[in-house]
Amino acid sequence: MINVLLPLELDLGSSIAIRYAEILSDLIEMSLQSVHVVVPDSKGPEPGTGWVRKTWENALMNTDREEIQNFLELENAVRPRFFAPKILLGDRQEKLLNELRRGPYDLFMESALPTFDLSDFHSLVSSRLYRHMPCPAVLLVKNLVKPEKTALIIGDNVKWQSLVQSFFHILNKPVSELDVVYCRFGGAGKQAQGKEHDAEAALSEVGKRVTSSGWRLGTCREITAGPEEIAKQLREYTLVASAVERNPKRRSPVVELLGRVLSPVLLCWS
Amino acid sequence: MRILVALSGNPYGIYVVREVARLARNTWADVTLLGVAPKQSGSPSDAKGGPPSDFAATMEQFRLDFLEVVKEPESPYTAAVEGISWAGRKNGPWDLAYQAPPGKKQLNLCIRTGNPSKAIIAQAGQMESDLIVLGCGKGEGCTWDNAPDAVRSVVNTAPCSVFAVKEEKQPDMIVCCLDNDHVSQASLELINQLVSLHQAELGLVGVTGTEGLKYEVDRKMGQLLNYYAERDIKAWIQLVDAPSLESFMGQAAQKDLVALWMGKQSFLDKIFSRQRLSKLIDTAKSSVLVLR
Repeated sequence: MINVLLPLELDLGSSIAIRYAEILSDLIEMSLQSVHVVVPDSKGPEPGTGWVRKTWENALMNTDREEIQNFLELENAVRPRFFAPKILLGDRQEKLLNELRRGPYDLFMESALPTFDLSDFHSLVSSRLYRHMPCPAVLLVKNLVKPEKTALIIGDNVKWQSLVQSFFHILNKPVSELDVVYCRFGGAGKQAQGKEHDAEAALSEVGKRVTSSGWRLGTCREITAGPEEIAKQLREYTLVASAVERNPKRRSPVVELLGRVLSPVLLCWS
Repeated sequence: MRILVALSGNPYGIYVVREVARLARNTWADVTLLGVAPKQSGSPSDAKGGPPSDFAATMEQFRLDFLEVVKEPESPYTAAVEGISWAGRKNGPWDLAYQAPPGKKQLNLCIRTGNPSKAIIAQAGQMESDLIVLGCGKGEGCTWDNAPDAVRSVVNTAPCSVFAVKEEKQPDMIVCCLDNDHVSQASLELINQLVSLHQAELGLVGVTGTEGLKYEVDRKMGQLLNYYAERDIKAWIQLVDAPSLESFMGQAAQKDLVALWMGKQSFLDKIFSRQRLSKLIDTAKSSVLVLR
């Protein structure tokens, strides 16, 4: 059983994340805690201190609690035990970090609707919350698609050992067929790094770990191309998982690849 | 639904006719095939006048091509129109209209001469079309032989939805761009049909402003997601900020069928000025659908 933290807002992204969490909870053993952070800055000028401030804070939290409750009713959330969110007040990243530390949580799940501007994804992945969160993985719900076909992305600069460890810990039951894809980021005039025998050895080793974990191994293949082209080739997958360093470089090809993918992405910290 | 198919007599019209026939087979639309003949094209078919015989023959062949696609026992279209001839004045317009039997849908033929865009818009207004379909050849550019601006002009001025069909290009995805919550049921159905006809995936693109997605667009996209999920259509959501929209659409139109909801409430009308919309249609390698 894994513990998952899911922040909720009053928007489409959260609507998708709620439904995705329900789908996932039918497939794996998980317990979910939802949370909503009220950000005072966005609610107008803050009052002073003491009981005046306390009363104001309580009013904000009560208002948001009611709105979130209405939102959940509109979404027909069918697992009320999941969706009795904690209401917190303050800086969003700070409060979520505190909650993750208070955990323990195995997975942080949040909505991240894909945007055309890839820098949005990079900013998210290198945010303070992501750099400091204690849990080993993040599930970014980019779209509402059932995990029917999953790809494990390994590559020249991807530490597959930590990926495999976190992946099978989080997805504690087989949820779909699992392909292993070794990405050699080159193409478009760039020289691919790494050696071919590295890819073969890694694919073979990860393939063994897949079958020993009870998953049905699909294909193990190598793709040499730029992130954009590889993302196109990964369109068939409804869940993509890879390992990413904390605070990745802006030009990290694996981050660019994961930013371009439209399906949900499981990021395992390496 | 009433569909007006505008044809120049160019052979690529066959792709347009087949595309519309597949669409009509599923939607049971009333269809009018409108041929716009260049003036001085050929000679009248007989002494009483009538459409240029070669052009009329091409249009009648398009009609047969249409019927070939919808040919099935339960087809809503009647093949036989024996005894019916072109009606009209000596110099046009000419119609091969007939009254469909009860329970059957209309498949009319008409021919006009003169300025193509004016003829198309006038016909669309007269028959209160829901959709105008026009064709263009392969690759970049979307021009008619004798009227280079016809397609662009119709797309920019038509009061109804317009579908500019590029020659036989199978899209991977139908990318629908939304910036307001005024989405008609007819346009939703049209998107459904295109998704199933092409067995393509559906992309729902929300246009964001400085404060993200507008509340009403956020809610509408949620409703659309539910609507398509209930029909087992996998919809992929993506957000694009308004300044990047032209660039995004330009890329998408290389491989995907692009649909823009441009209703009265839409600020896509402002972002996509006539010039930009024309450029999108010119440079697109796939078909473009403008929903109004």
